[in-house]
Amino acid sequence: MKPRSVRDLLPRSLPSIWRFALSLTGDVEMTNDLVQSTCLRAVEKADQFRSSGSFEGWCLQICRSIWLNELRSRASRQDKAFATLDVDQIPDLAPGIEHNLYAKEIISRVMALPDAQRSVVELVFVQQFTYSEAAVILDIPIGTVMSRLHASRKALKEFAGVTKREKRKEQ
Amino acid sequence: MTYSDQELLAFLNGDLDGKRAAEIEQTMRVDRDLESRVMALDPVASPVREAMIALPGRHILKDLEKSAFVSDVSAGKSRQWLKLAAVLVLGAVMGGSAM
Repeated sequence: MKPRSVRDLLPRSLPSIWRFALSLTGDVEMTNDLVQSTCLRAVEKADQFRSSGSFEGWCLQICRSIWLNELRSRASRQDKAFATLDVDQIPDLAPGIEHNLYAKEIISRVMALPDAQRSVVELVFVQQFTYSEAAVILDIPIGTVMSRLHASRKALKEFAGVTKREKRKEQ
Repeated sequence: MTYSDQELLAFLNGDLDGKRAAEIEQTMRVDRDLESRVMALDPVASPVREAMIALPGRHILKDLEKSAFVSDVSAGKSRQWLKLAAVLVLGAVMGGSAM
């Protein structure tokens, strides 16, 4: 693929890349930097993209690879949880979400998951990649994807269940 | 092998016995339809997706669209300037030698 074609495709993929980057970094500023690096790398490596594959999946692999290099270079790889990131610190939530406490609560809970679980949740629950696609993007066995999802589900289930019951009561 | 929705929900909730759960997991690796069914039945996926999909907001996106390509564009521009400068220098040299 030509760099120009990649540049044309990237804007549509920015939300997915941003959310995935956020799931890796847990920090808005670092996320923005990581997205920028990912876009530049994708343009540079445009000739390596095979149009038979998923463009977004390819970008997310690049994003993860850059992040891992960053972690290595800082020698600071720790399984830090997102708990430090408050949803209100995300300066610009999409319209409607600012006052949606339920959505904010869910985002907070996803952010509070360990980063390994968070990225799987982002890929499978949010971006709807299959388990096998998520395994390829994260370079882990499919069984690990499933076990991470299982653990995340446990952590998120209670809240989602309660809220569903409350919603039903309201109706 | 067929599985009922109830059984798959129990699998997702971790309520299925280990042997049966392992069997479903194994089948999912080769059976795309089963994988899709499991994903669609997941009670946690949908509320999480609905909340998370709202990120990032419009302003973040606008900034990203600008900044993500700034370096690339400016690199392109500087290359253009270099080409232009090279042409000018070459022209001057050739013009000088012709005189």
